[in-house]
Amino acid sequence: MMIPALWQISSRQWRAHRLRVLMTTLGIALGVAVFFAVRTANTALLDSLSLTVERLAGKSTLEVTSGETGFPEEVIDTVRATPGVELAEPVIEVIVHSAFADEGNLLILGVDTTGDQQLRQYEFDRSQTEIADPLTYLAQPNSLLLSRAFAERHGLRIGDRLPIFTAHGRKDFIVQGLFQPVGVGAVFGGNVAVMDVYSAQVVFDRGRSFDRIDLMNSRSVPVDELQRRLCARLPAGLETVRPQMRGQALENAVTAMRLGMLITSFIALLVGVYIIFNSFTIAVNQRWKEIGILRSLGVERRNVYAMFLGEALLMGVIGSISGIAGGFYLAAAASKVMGSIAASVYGVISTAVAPRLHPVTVLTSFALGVAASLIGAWFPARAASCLDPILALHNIESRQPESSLGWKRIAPGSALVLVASLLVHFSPSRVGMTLQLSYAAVILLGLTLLLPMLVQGSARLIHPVMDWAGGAEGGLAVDAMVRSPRRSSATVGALMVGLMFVFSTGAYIQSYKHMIGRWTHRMLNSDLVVATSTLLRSTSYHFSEDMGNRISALPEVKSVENVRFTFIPFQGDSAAVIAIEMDGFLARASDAIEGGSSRHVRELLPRGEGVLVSNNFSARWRCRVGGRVRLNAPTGVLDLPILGIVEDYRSDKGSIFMDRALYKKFWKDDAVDFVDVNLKPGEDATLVKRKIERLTSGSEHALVYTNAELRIWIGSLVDQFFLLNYMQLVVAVVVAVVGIVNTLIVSVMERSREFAIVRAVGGYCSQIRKMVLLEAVAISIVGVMVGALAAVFNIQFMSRTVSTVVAGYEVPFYFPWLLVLAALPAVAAVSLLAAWLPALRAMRMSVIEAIGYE
Amino acid sequence: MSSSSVCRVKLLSPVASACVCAVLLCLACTPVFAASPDARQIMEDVYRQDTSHDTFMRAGFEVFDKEGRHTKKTFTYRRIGSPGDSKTLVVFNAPKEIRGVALLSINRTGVSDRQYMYIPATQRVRAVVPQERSAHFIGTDFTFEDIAERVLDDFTYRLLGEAETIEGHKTWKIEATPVDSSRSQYKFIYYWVAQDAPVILHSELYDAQGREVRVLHASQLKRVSGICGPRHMEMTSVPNGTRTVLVIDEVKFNAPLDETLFTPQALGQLHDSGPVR
Repeated sequence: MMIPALWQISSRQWRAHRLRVLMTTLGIALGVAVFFAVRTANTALLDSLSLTVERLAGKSTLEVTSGETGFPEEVIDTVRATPGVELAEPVIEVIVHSAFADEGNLLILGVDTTGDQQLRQYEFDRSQTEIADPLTYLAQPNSLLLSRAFAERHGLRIGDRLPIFTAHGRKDFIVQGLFQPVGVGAVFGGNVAVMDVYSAQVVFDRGRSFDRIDLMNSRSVPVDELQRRLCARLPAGLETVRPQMRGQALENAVTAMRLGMLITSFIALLVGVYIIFNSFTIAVNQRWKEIGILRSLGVERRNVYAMFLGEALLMGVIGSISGIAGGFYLAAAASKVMGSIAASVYGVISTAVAPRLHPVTVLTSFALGVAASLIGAWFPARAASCLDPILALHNIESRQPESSLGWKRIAPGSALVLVASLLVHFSPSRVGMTLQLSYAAVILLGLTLLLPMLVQGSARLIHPVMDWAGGAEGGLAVDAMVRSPRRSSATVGALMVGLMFVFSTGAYIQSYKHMIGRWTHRMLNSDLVVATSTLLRSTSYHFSEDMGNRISALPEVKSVENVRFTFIPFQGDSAAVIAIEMDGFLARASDAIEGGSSRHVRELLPRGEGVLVSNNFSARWRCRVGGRVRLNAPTGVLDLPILGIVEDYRSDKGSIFMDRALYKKFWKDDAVDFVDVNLKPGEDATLVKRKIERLTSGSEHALVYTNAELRIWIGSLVDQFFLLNYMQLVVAVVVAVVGIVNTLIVSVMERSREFAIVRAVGGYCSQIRKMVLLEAVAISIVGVMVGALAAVFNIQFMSRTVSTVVAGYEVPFYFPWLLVLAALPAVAAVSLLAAWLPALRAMRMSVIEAIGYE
Repeated sequence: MSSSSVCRVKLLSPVASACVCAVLLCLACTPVFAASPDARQIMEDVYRQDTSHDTFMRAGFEVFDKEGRHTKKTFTYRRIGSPGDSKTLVVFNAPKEIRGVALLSINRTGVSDRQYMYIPATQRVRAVVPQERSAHFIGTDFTFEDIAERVLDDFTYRLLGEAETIEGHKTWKIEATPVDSSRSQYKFIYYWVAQDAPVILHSELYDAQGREVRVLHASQLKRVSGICGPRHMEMTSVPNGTRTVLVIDEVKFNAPLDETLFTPQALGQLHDSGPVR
């Protein structure tokens, strides 16, 4: 009997406060939508990677690989001679730039087409059931078979020419056949071509090496047994893995992005929790007297508790369902963004996969949405149920200041913030990512408990300013905040969460850019750099050494350094290798080397008798100067001492620097990814840049940067990398704005009676409006102050914990003063806009009705 | 996925090219036929009449598409050894895109053929995987089965009787049916064999569904070293209206061939200037 009666009360409240209910439900819906979209897009990306691997792998049951460097082709003889190998086919995988101005990259699969069809599915154009001329296709290295999708986009037919940038410059390829967008043809959005693997070796300057061997086991030998046999027979630098493991490796490559997205989605949910918390805090504040009456009439505490939690549950259910529905559409956009970042930043090939409704994701999102609502409402519901009926019939804010400002909140709040901050500083990474990321939630919980005290303290600080700037109304507005810490805390809390993420993310990005700036100054200080790609590197398009020779022949050039930047397998994961001509490197960047004897470095490094490692490699693998690294190269094992540590951020996996001659000897790879150019004294870098551009124009896909341009270019790469963080900022801002609007509207409605009394004692409508607007400004100033304080803790968390989890290294602490100052007028403007409508309502409110409002 | 719709990169496998010659030689003739209308005996005479220990041939394929456009490839062919234990070498001379491409096939009874290809542009000798029997041979209308050495026992034969005169020769019409479907892509084949020579002058080939898919016609019989055979063969693909003409310009039997040419290592050094070495 009791519950239906209480439900009637709740429904009456909902009808009376439709806007609040709507905004609160919207807050939950937004949180769930972002969470659901990110999860669904993440799943779609993983599905896409897995599908890509599956299509590229065909029926192969095992693959032999050696990171990105490839391996000598003789390995295939060993593989084919291994008992249990039914079929083994070599593969070269290249992503090239076509010379079509409006087309992106093209994946070229170099396969032995005379045997590969047994492994992979190609389906040729129905009108052209065969390759036009199979013998010419094999005999001419510039022959390729093209997916119909790509061909149609460019009006290409069999026999037509397709211009592509290769290691030897721009070359025309002849389309010898078309295939349907099924099997491998559907990979990479149909931007796929197939060519003969031996032709690919020639035109892409791969020497006599393959990227991969795909193989099938014979029926009599299980895959695991064959894997063991191959591991025993092949050199240590080669890995024999199931194709699914390559999918796992691709997933690992985009881990940072997925983590970033995941953190974004949790932020959205966390803010959703905060919105519910705010809304219910306000609802409880609004309904003190009603609760007091109910309690006086004999309604038990648990029923009051259940009433509020029941409301939260219903809002959670409605918000979650709406969020899932909206999130499904949001997922399509998120999926596109993630696919695009995966391709452009990580060079990971994917296949378009439409987001699907996964029951587990639906249920998880629903459960989290409902749980977030219940968690958000739990404190306010508990406060309502614990209410003393006698006190409740009076003004609870003025009679119970201790409940929001007492030591019971301050002590645990301070303890939580302190403990979490200590954990951020001192906890080891081995505790696991989930636990590490929970530190942020603990800090936020602590700050929430401290919020009323922070609001009151901040309000007192700004009181003189508001008094001076806003006159009596300004003082009254601040007094209203001080008198009502609970109500103010709700609005300030919404601001705090949003601004905390805005400030800390901004600070993180700024700090990262500053760090990168220092690194480029110390390490990338050649006069000009010639790069293969607009991205950090191209995984498959490289220069030949001839390019460096041609540049060094220019009269203005003092020296050039050919740089190879690739990834190799390392201790079950991967690591970047930067192979560089060390004499030149040491001449210009020896200051960047930390630790170790500089004499040793100068003597041993150019002789290939040691390596340098990056700071994040050292942190990730716990190795120091004097220690050793053991590298499995395709031609043997390299065990070298670490001679020094350098600051380098090219890879979140860590980097190993070695002399280029050593790398070429052990990896049989002379490809070049960058050419560092040092000019003679007095030469104009811009003029030489133009000369190099003319030298490479129309032949190589070469991008020439002066040192200043290089820094700008790297800055733009960093921006691209932080695209997710910018998205995160947008989410934080949107949710914060929803929170401000929500709480301000509710706050003004709550104070209808107070405004009516001001009007009744002769106050002007304009004074009411001014009070409302000035309070909004005061709240925004306090919100920025508290948000900045919260950001201090969160910056620590991001620069230490998140950075280590995602990138493997720490980022220096940086506080974004300018951003905080810039945020102040922006937040004040949003608050004013949010308060404008409630202010108008307050002005127009009937005094008699308003006095009777509560 | 049906074999016809599957992408198959068709290259001239050495064994296949060897079989081009085998087919041609199977058409060679000795005038031993009289009134002995046993179908199997007729076909056995066709298949086993070549006793030469090596062969040199200069020939060309002309492929016509359904619009009548055509491309031509010329090549030289060398074989040493006897069927079942032979080595064959094909070197293409024209057009320039395939000039110098060489194919070597080493055939041994009871083991898989080993096949190698040399591509001048990449200067590589590579091993080649044997092709499916229904795959088209270097873009011609011949399939690998059409030009392969036929194994007499893969088919059963039925004499359908005397048939029309073709190219001035009276013929026997014989129906060949594979002993099981794994032996041939065809459900059955009709042969018109000359009565006065062990030469197949005309064939009609029917796919697994019983549809006529190819027609082969031979003409211009000539005798060399006591062996006669056609110098002109035309294979027509019935469903798509394309056709391929094989013209043999020169054939030599039992000429001394340099055995060292028939190794993968020698492919890269091959200069195909002289007809016979």
